[in-house]
Amino acid sequence: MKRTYELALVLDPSLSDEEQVALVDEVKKMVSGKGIEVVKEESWGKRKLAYPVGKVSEGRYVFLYITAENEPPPVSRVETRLNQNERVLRYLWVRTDEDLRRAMRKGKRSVPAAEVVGITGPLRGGGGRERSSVEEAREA
Amino acid sequence: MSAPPRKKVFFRRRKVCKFCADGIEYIDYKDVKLLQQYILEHAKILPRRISGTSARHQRMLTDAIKRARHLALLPFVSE
Repeated sequence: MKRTYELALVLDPSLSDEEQVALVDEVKKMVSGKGIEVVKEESWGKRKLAYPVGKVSEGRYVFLYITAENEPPPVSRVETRLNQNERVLRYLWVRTDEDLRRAMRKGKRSVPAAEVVGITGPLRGGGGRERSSVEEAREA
Repeated sequence: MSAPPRKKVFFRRRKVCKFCADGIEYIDYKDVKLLQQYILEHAKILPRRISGTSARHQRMLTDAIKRARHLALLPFVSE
């Protein structure tokens, strides 16, 4: 069964755009492997932090959307590397497939994060519950 | 003769869970605009007794808020 993950990164604001791309590429290489793929990368650019981290008050936000076919991604190996890198202020791994599948099955709203990783579901369109055929017949 | 004492009747609007009403089943930690509506000015999480959020959705909400806090998208405290 396919698992999906998100890896959120908050990077040093003093990086240049090129340095950011280089660093993110490095992380993507660490993550990817057999059956493990970074399907989308989302960058928010520089953003003010809600509280200072160390000495900085801004961060570069990058989100990686990851799918894994058989084996899980090398989470702890990547974490060690991220901990060692002082240009990474914060990171967060989230496994999303279970929540997203449930959301697409039961929710009425489409979840953008689910479409990105290729999780689709029978969304009940629009608000409100579906009308039964009995109700429709009664009105007719 | 004075008017008979009458019991005061309060009408409290029935609170409904916004997430149930909208059919939202996934609360994204990246959705800062949404999460901000559920924190108080000191950055505490709004209790569901106030917001009317259902227990399930409150759980999803607190998880999302805590993730967002870790990423410095939301504050832990603000004065």
